[in-house]
Amino acid sequence: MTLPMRDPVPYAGDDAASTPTLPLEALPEGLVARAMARIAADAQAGRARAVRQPMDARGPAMRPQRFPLPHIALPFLPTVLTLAAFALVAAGGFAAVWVWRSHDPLQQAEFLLNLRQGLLDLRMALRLEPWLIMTIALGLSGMGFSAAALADRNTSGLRPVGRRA
Amino acid sequence: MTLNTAAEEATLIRAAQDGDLRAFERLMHSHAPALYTLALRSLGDAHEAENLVQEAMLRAWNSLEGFRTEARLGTWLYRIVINLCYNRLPQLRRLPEGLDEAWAATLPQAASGPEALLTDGDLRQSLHDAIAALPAQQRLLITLRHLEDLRYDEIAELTGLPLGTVKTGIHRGRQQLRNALAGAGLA
Repeated sequence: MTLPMRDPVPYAGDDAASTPTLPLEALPEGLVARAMARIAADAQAGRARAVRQPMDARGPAMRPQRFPLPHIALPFLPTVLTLAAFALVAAGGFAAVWVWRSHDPLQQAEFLLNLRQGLLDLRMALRLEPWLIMTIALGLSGMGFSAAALADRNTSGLRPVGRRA
Repeated sequence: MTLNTAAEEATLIRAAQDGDLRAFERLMHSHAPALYTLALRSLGDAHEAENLVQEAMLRAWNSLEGFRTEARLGTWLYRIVINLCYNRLPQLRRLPEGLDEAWAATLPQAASGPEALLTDGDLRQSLHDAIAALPAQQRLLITLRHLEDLRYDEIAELTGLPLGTVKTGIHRGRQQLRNALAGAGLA
């Protein structure tokens, strides 16, 4: 038997031709796995390039931690707002009266005299019947406070708001 | 384990460059047989070859960030293996006498290479034995030539040998293989 003749001299044409691949040697079992283990160990020891865990081995993705905003609840907010609105309206009313009165010096004087008289009457009443005045004031305050508490029971910060079924 | 497409290999290379060891392992599974074959045929010792391939993979991992994906990974890996082989067997690099371009030009027309015998599976072991009997450098050149159909200029670049030396070395290797197989009654 003779080998089929073919030009073994490496001409350019031969170089371009496809060459049959020789059979590969049998790879020792676990060679690649041992090499990977060695790389991982060297990387852990800082002797090799760092190994990054693939996405599926990282576990749950780290999400930025959400910090709940502090719950700032102003007690009786509607009541406070209502009182503020009343105070604003009252102040506006007084200012309007004041401005209006200020156009006429006579009226202005009369208003001041009346106001002074009212204050004198109030002072007199407080001096003569202080318990009555204080009782009325405390009663009005208590009623207002109770009404405000009832109105704000579900919105104020005094009572924890749970999840309703 | 072989990779289906060059695109798949490129994807794995990029992942490995980013530090994904699993992607690198898949790449190495694909190239390990050729690397081991090259190392074994160059060194002639299975244990040495295995250690060398592991060392080559470690070096490849460390240097992979600098690898350009437009190059061939296999050729790049061969270069690492060959450099390691040179470190262990300096005589691989030594130029044999008479292997030059002028000598190559005088070569006669001759028979085809022994690779034609590979169509017959029973002859493979004999071919392995014949390759193992070749001088170290011819063994390396023959292996590179037939490992992944590398061109002569690629082999010259990989080995750092002159192109003429590569050509004549492969020719002589083939001739010796042919003679060995003929002596064994296979040719």
